[in-house]
This record gives sequence, C-alpha cells and structure tokens, in this order.
Amino acid sequence: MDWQELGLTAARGLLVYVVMLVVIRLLGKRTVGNFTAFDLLVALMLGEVVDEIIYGDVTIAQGMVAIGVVALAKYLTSWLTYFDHGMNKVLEGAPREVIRHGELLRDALRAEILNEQEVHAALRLHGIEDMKEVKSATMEVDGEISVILEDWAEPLKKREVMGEAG
Amino acid sequence: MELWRIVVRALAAYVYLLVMTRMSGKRVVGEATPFDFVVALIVGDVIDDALWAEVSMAKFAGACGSLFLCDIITKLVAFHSRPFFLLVHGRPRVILRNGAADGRGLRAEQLTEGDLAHLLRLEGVDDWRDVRVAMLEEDHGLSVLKCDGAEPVQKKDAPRVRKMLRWRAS
Repeated sequence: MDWQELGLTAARGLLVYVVMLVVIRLLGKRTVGNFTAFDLLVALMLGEVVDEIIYGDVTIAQGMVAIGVVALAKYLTSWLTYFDHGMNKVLEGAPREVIRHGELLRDALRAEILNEQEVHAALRLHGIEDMKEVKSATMEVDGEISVILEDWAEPLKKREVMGEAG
Repeated sequence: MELWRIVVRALAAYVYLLVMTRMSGKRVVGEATPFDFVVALIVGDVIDDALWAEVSMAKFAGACGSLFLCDIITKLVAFHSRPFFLLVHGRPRVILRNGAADGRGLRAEQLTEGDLAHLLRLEGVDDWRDVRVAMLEEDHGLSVLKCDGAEPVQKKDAPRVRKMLRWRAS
C-alpha cells in the first residue's frame, strides 16, 4: 500500500467534490423542477467523467477541461431555451395535448408513443377515474401529464354555494 | 492527449446525446421506469471512455445509438402490443380496496401496512374508509380513487347543495 498515492487520491477526490459542487450550483436552479431526460444524462455524464480524475487515470487538467466543456454546453443550451422559445421547442420539445373534453386524441398519443393504459394510469394518479371529467390533459416536456378538469367537475368553491354574501 | 481534443470530443458527445434523447421521446424522467434508468446509466457510463479517447468516437456513437434504438423499438412494440406492454411495464397492482389493505398486493410489492399508511398520508388520506381503490402504478406512484361520498363536492352538485342548505336553514 502506497500511502502517498492514497493521500493523492483523497486530495483529488476532495478537489473533484468542490469543483462539482460549484458546477452544479452554477447550473443548478433551472434544472430543478424541470428535470428533463437530458438533464439526467448531463448529470450522469458529469458523474462518469470524474471517476477517472479521482483515480488519476487522466490528468487534472484533462478532467477539468471535460467537466468545463459539458457544463458550459449545458449552460449554453439552457440559456438558449430561456431566451429563444423556438429553440426551446427544438431542444426540449413542446407540450402536447392528449385529452380534450374527455376524448383521447389518438394522433397525439401515437406521436408521443403513449398508450391508453399509460394515460389511464396518469389520470388515476390524479385521482380521476372518469375521463369525461377531464377538459384537457397535456403531456408536458418533463414527461408529466397535467390535468385540467371540466368546469362542472371542479371542486365547488364556498362562494358558489353561499351566494355573493358568503 | 492534447486538451483541445477533449473539448471537441466532449462537445460532439454532448450534441449527439442531446439529439438522441430528443428523438427517443421526452419521457425518460417523468415516467422513468427502473429500466429507463438503467439505460440512462449505461449511456452515462459509455461516454467517459469516449472523452479520454479510450474508444473511438465512432464506437461511442454506435454503442449509444444501438441503446437508443433498442429503447425506441421497445416503446413502439409496447405501444402496439398489450401483452408486450405488460411484460415490460408490469401491471398496476391494487394494494387497498374498500378501505382495507389488500394483503396479497402488499406482499407482492414488498410493502408493509406502515408503508401503505405513509403513501396514503402523502396523498392526504387520513381515513382509509374514504378510499375505494388504491393502486401502485408502474412508476411506483400511488393512485388513490376515493369512494363517491369522500370525493370533494363538484360544481355540478351546486344546485343540490344549495337546496340542502336552504332546507337546513328553514
């Protein structure tokens, strides 16, 4: 066992930890709450790049360049999607309506490669059993299905029962 | 190895993966099944060898390409064939019915009644009798379908509620 090598590995591990912390904080915010498939891949890419740095299989300079390029590319694409909505559509895709007024939109389902059982499962997760209650369901860019209820199926608000006085 | 080569390789890999994810559909995270996750991990694992030029970029493109292709084919076949869909995704399993825990469903999902109580609390359910059916969906979310009496009052019920209130008041 070479103690010096062990110490170096520990030092490199520490360095990588700090660098990743900074990188994730710089990219941060936007990826939380809108975590798309590609965000996951970028996170994995960064995670895979660092192990060779820690073990010293590549030099620190090489590792930092690789992390820097991936992080910068991610930053640029995020920036582009923020300022240019056309770019947003290309890079992240557009949301697509899959149910309208209780009817499945077959073309949309085919385009999303989403079958009926998956839509029913998504509705169940929203606590909805009867599709007629759905005014509009949309496949969002992060893969979540959002649901808007028909007016009559919305929960009753207090003011609607108590009259204007209530 | 020269540093600028890493820059070129990293950029190429980044753009390639971006295109691939977009083409494979955008659902990997939102409805990530364990298998989607495994695919993502493999792709992430393949990329670093390409960055350090341990494998050629062509090999990297081929490896990722074939994984994404398998992913797309699986999705397409599951879309058209229900048996295959069930094979890949599994079946949603009932773990609570008419207010009582379904012991067999719980065992099959390796959940205790305590886990079930936890999942129901997250859905805001306190009294289990309010629940007609609770199912564990393939993405491991719990769906709760309440019995009619426990559903919130809907707008379509407004006239009846108003009538009832008037009757109470008089």
